[in-house]
Amino acid sequence: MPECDFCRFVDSEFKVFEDAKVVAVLSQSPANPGHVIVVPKEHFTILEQVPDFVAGHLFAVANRISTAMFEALRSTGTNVIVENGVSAGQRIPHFSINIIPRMENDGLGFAWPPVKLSEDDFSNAEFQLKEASKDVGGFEKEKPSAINADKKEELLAPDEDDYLVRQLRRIP
Amino acid sequence: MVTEEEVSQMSPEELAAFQRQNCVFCQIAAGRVPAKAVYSDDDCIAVLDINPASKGHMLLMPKEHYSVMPQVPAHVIEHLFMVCKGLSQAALKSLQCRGTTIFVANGVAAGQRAPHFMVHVIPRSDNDSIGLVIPSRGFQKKQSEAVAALLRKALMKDKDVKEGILVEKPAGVKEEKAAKKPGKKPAVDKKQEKKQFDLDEIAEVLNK
Repeated sequence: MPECDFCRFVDSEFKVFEDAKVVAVLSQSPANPGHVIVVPKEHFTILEQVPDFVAGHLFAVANRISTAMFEALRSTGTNVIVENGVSAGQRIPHFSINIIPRMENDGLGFAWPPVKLSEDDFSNAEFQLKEASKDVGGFEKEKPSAINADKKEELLAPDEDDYLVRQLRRIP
Repeated sequence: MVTEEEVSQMSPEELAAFQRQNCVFCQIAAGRVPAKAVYSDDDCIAVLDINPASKGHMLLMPKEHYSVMPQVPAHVIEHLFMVCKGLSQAALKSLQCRGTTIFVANGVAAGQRAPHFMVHVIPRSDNDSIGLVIPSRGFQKKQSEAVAALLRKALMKDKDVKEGILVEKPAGVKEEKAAKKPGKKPAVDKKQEKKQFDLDEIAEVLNK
């Protein structure tokens, strides 16, 4: 596996949470004080590579941290954001979830200009996505033991052909 | 029209029914308001956003009414985001997009506008004009140390966490099973109850 700063997160002095699968640390380039990123301990580049049960667990932890922000930091809101792929603004080659504590008038604004789509565009998107998400479900669960050795290879193999992953690897 | 006083006197069951009735997204989930649904199962539904950031912009939400994410039980979150992964994959596969942004806003301060918790899945392409950049506003060591300590302390309240770090269990599987044991549930519920005040307030603003 290539050297990845995020794989070394476990050693960070700004770690706020850790369990068997995930680790959460304060962002080194925070949008607001208390901005946390949660990453899987195992190296995955994009969400699509993260096993289902790890993905679910990651977001459950993200929710726990977001909830803690309301209490500990007296935030009045939180944003949970994943930049999945370079086109989505992903800058680091390790899948991560951003959890940003928010206050009124904190100077942040995550909004997007709505695009005008034709009725055809809507129907087309509906049809395509419906087709493509037909096989969503039957989620992968954690296997009892000795999964990691086998699974790693299985998961890493498609990497080389994956445009999104190759693109991220090029980031210095 | 229901007055605020009447609402405050409702039982939790009545209140839930009232919220469902008044929430357009609950109506969508129940199929009473038409929407372009792309995915649906027992617990969640994904529809196309009618004011999309890009073609294929989806709103994924639990069918049950929750105003903000902290109110959502862990098992629902897990399921929802496994579906979210599937939908992101579906977008990458079927639309000409090169990435996805997964976005949640909790509370008006975070830009939430709908009174129903939802996850935005936004197909992205190179140089689209969506923006949505997470700015970097400088890291201050002193402040970060204090903030990290506060967060660790809050996360430590959970029974299984010691000094901010979850106590390692012999095997990952056991840990998952333990999480599903009903015995552990009360601890979580109690925690949520305690925070209910804040959350209610945050949720309340959204309902207006």
